[in-house]
Amino acid sequence: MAGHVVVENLGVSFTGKDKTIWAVKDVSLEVKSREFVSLVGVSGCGKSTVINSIAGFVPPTVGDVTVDNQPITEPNSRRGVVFQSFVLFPWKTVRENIAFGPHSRGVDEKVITQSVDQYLKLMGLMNFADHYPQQLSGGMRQRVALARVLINDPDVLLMDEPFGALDAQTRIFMQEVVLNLWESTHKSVLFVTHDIDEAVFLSDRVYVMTAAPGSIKSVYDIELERPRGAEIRLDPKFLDYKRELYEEIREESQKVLGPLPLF
Amino acid sequence: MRQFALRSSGIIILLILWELVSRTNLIDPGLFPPPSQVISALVSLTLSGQLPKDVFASVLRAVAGFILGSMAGLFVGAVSGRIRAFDAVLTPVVQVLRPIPVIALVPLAIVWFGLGETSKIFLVFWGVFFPVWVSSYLGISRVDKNYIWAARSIGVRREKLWLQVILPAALPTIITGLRTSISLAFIVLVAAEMAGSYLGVGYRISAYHLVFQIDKMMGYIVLMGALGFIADRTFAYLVNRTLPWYQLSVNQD
Repeated sequence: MAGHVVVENLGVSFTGKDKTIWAVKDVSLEVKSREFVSLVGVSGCGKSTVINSIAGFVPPTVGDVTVDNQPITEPNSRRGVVFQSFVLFPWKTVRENIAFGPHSRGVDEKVITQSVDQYLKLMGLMNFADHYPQQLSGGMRQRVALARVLINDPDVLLMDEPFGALDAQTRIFMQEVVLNLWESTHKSVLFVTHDIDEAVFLSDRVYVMTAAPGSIKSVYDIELERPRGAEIRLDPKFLDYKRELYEEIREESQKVLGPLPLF
Repeated sequence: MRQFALRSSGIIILLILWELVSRTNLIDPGLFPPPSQVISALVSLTLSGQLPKDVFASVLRAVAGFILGSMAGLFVGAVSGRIRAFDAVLTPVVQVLRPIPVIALVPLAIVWFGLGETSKIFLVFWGVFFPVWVSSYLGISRVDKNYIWAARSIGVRREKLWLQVILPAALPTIITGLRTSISLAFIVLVAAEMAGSYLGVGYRISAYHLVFQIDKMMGYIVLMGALGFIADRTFAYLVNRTLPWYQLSVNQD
């Protein structure tokens, strides 16, 4: 089974003007094949850096990142990335955006057209195939971005606050879209978010990061039955997980923001 | 249609005022001939065949200089915007030459290349090169790294990034530079033709000035404006036609 991500003692530093800044320090985590794992933490704790290292965008300064025991040297379509800001190509139509991956890997044109159609249908974008991304709403753009990645049939899906730019209703809708997709395709997912509710709703396991420079603070196995529907958000067990995670995050955000001011 | 009527009304009023001012001898009509006289001068110059030859010569120089200058600007801007070694070597050279007003080079160009086509094309080339260089340099060096990451992680190979991602991502900025360069090309061309030539719109403006035929001179000035206008509209049309996404991106930012 493919898509087993292992991150061991990962540290990533950037050299600033005259000092070295550690974005993350000593991060260890694992996404087993077909698992849905979330990484939560306060803003600026280096969650995205972990994703960027696994994607192959940013090399580890120390530590090891492997997928199926292979060290990562560069980006690859086996590891699909969904970005918070969608990052669709504005010079390509919806259809061309989705086809870009298979196209540049030399897949047969007929096969491409067929599978693009299939993803357009799956994502409810059939009527928007020839639109440009700028003409779509945020939720639709993120569905294009998902389709653009899924068409390459990756083993691992790396999602970097994918719904952070969406409004609350669209966000909940997209969470259900992703959950359904994951339940039918069973890819390994690493999902970065600062939304605790989202993390508990989606995940098998949640890693909590400390404030910057981020490392792993704690791990929670989310033992809620699947498939999960909207009603599970009111389940007492769900609320217990939320409460615990909320406390963990609160401790970290106080380190960053300081204690509550007294008026 | 109503919009069109409203938009043209200002121009019509301007023409009527101009006609009245010189008809009533408010200003010496010898110095300030009315539009009717300017138009009839333009018509007779067209019929004699002189004006089309001038337009052809000027447009050819402008187009040749523009194409060469923008290609060179794009190329130098692109390699120095993306490849560090080129940036280190080329950018200071460009920055030293850029502040020189291109009009200051007119006499030098004539000394070097004579009064023929080469000096005109060289000057337009020079004038167009810098704004295109600046816009391509900025556009290409500031391409959002997320575009490159997104492309790489869906399997676009590194050697294909240039044409498939970097260039299109920088295109809106480059287009702005190209459009600025069009009006610049005409300014430089007129200066070059006025300084010495045998043919061309700019040359006629200066030649009729010397023989004090103000109606013909003004005719050529109006013509110059019309050429600039047509060039700009043509460029905008071609951009919208070939890059339908361009307007959408510009409106959004």
